[in-house]
Amino acid sequence: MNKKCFLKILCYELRRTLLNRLFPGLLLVNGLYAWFLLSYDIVLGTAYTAPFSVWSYCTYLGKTLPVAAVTVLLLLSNYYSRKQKQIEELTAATPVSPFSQVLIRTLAAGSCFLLICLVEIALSLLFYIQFFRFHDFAAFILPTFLLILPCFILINGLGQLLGSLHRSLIYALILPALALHSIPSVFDLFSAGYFSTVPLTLPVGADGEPAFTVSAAFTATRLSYAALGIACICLTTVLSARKSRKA
Amino acid sequence: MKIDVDHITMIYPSGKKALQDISLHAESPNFIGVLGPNGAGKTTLMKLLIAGLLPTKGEILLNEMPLLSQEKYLKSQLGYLPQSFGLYDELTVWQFLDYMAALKNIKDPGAITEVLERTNMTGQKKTRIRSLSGGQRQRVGIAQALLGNPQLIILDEPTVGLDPEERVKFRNIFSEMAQDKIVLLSTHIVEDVQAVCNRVLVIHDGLILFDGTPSRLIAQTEQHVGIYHAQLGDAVPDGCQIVSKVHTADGIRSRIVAEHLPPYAQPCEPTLEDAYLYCIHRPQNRIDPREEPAAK
Repeated sequence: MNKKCFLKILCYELRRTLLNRLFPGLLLVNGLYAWFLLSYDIVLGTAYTAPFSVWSYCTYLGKTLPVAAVTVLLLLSNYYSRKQKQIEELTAATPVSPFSQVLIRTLAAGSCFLLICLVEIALSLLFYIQFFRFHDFAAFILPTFLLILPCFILINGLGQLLGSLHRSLIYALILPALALHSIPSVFDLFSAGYFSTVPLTLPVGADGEPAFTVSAAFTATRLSYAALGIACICLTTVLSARKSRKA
Repeated sequence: MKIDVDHITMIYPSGKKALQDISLHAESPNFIGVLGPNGAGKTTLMKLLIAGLLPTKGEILLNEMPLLSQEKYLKSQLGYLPQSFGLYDELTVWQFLDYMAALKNIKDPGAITEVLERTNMTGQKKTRIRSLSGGQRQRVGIAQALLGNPQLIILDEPTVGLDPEERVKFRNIFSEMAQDKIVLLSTHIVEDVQAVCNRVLVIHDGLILFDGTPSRLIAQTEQHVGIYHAQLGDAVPDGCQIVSKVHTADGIRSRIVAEHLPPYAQPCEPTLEDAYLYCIHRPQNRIDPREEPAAK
């Protein structure tokens, strides 16, 4: 498939996902929840650090991610609906490969996730500027990627893998996905627990706050989650190719 | 293009035997009508031909190469309309065809305009699919199958939901397209097959009962179609299948097909519909297309 056709299909998939009846409502819920967190939780600071510390910011992102992940799972469930299966009667007879199909879905769902994250980030920046006259956001960039990317890749991979087996498994994944923030902090997929407890164990620096750092175990866990997500996406491709020949 | 189906058997995981040791050869140009009752195996045959199913036994060859090794080529040359399909309701007709064209790797936007004109959907190109009637949705399905001038067109019940005038129009479009292609048309409408197909396959219980020209199928039914007048409440004669019943002043004028007509039935000229019914109601006597027509 050439690049132009690939991009055209991606644009249509993205358009369909964004125009989905669920999406505006879910985006609003994500935005309201983010503002609620900022106003009632993050404004107090995390683990005795400032509300605009990297620790507080990562805790904020970590607390918003479960809702964003559930949103992505609900959007992914549309790709495995009965209606979509009827449309696949037509699309399965085209030369587009199962790998391209899974990649397009991943990118479309990823763009929606990114849009939600951008709204949450924009709200947080607005909050910091408005309430604290804080503008130094450069320190937030790297932790933001470290938090968001592995979470999205794993949720998307697991969602597509389970969805390709049965749509209801995507809904079943929502509860364990939410429960992942209550397991020992280093394994916490969303990491809110990690960032709200680790500063308490670190020495305080000259500015009165522990310097921002993440352990090697934490980074390794994040990389493992991302690798697991990629493995799930690859497995989905294989399953999709097999399923396209099933009765 | 050349397709060879070589002793294919298809058994579903449920144990249902959909096709039993069937073989056929098709070469462009060819317009093949596939007739058979529900559950005969028509759709299974179509799905096997589009590499949507793997046969339990046997092999399908495309241009003398195994179909699976040619899958990408097959799908780049395929126009397929399944029996039931879905469309993206939120897209307009043009957008949906543009989406399908991208999936088929068709870069020429003129291809969409062409199929819209062919299917008489130009006026609805900006209409959202959710606002279309059943017949218009079917036309969108046909339009996507015709996109990009495919060399193999497989149509499973394409005229369902179309009014008689549209049906005639579409079967003529299919006929025009078959001039240099292989077209497989599965239908329950025997009249459509008679009007446009140069070859007919009759499938019943997973077996090909007949493979040949419509005229030969008709010829083999001569002396097996008759008319008699019955009264209300009369039983159907043994071994006979009623094709039609017309209430007249003299009683009920019944048209029947049978291996041996009752002596009171007057033989008449068979139609393709008679021939089809005769064919599927004597599956134990598989009709050989090479068999000479019965003497008049």
